[in-house]
Amino acid sequence: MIEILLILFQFFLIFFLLSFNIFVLNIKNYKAYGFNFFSKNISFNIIIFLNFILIASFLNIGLNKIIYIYLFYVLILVLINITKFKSFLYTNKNYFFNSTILFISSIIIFFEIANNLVLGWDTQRVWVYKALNFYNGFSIDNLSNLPSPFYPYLGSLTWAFFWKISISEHEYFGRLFYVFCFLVSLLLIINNLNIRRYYKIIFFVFLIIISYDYTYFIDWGIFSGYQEILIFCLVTKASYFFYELHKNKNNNNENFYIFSVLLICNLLVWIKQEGYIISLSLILGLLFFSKLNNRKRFLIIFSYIMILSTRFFIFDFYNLNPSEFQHLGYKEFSITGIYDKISIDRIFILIKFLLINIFANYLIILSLLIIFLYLIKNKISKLEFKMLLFFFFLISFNIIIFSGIFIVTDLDLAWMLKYGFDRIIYQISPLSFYLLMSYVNHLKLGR
Amino acid sequence: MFNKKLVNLKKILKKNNLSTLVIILLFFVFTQEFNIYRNTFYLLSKSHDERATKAYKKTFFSGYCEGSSHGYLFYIKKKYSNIFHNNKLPKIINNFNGKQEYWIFKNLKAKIDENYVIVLNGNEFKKFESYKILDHHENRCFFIERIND
Repeated sequence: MIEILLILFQFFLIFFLLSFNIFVLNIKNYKAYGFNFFSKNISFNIIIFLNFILIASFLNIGLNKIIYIYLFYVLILVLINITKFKSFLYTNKNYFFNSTILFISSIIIFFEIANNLVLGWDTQRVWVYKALNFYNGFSIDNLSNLPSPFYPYLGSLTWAFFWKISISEHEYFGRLFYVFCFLVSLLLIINNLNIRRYYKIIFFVFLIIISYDYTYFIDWGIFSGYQEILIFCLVTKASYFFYELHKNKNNNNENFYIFSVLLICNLLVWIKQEGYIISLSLILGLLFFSKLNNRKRFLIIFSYIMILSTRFFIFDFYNLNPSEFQHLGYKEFSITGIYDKISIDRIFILIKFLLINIFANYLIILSLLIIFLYLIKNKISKLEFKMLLFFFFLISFNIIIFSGIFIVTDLDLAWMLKYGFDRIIYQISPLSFYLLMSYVNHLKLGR
Repeated sequence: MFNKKLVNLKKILKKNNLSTLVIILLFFVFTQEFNIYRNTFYLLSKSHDERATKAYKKTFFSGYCEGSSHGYLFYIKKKYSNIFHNNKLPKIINNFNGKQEYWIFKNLKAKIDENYVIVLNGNEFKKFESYKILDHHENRCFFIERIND
């Protein structure tokens, strides 16, 4: 019984810590955001929170200090916003509806996590030790003494943060944040669909089910400590920001959406190595598919270079990668070495696994279905066509680059593809939400 | 006041019979998908370590005393917590896959104490002549302590 109460408390704790921010609550006309205010607010807060603890960790301080700094930040926000927030809660029914849905779905999945306590294979080799590093009071400079120091650590830092801040000593309390983040991301998409509330609930449950249990080859649960779920959540949020950016020609919040995408790119490179490719695709998408002036384009490129430089600088500064090693299975990088690895046999193996994994992912199947619906549609507007192109660009860019990376591996290619490619597809699959919003909102169903 | 609200609710339900039914059905599908009833029961009736042991039994890489043997490690950690509380950890020797799941003890600051050894998936004790068995499971997993001469 105590553990159930602790789980409930953990939900309210996460919810409270991520409910306030200085940007959104200060917008006077929050009612104008309507249905989407709730998920937009918390989604943006999650992005701010992750960037906050990441930058705090650069100072080489322990987790306790990071927690105190963040709590101080939240306290200030609460004091600033408390009067607005109180009146806001009473006046906005959507907020109540959204928080109820989030509470019920979170508790249901929290209970599942509390019972299915298995940590995945990679988690037990890498991620749990990084989380323990922070949980035990060490800062980032100690990561070089742990297994696979060359992997980034933001996901583990978040895990340790919510583990430490919880009343319980059990590690899974830290992983409950991943569930919260996942559900908020889906709510963000659902709330942005122009459909009735009744359909929103159906879509929400449907999307949770199709994106939750993703097991084809191996036994990995999305909440078993693997970092893919965080990338999934961030790509989902990025899909939303891109949709908002492309939807209106004269977008008043253009800078806000661009800033959010840049913040997401910063987080991606600190979660997994795959984040480099995915963030690069998002930046290219931003540059090629948005009408921006040259000053903004320059700022975006400059910011991205700064993000990458900071990533390498911090790793170098704290000597987290003494071997100059980037990923397991990649040592030989000479041109002849790479050339030798590209053969017809290997390309066929790659295509085989690519097709299997594409058709094993429900979200990709959903996007294929939407593309089919577009094809049989009589008339596609210019905007819809542009959105389709954008989706094709992001998906094909990621698939081509990741396929290229897989094919030059030093390890057994079939083994690498079998145990890695499904997770790559999973990480980029939320791009389908962009297509989903584009299609459903142009059907003009109305609320 | 309460009656008025009840009447309103009845009106809404009458008006949206099918919608309500679909939402209720959906709720049951959702709860069934995530085994909420079974999970609640286990949360009420079993401890964290019992649930973890049960969960690892289902994996291909572990079990109670197989593979990485998480179940046995959870059991030893709990039973001999008085030995390990002082920043000491037992040495783990896994004869199956060599995996040493020290993370279960949740203490990176602790030093490995060679006086205590957990031997998983094996019964070769030639190397451990100077040790006594404190605990064992089916002569496959052992917790041993060095004998002081």
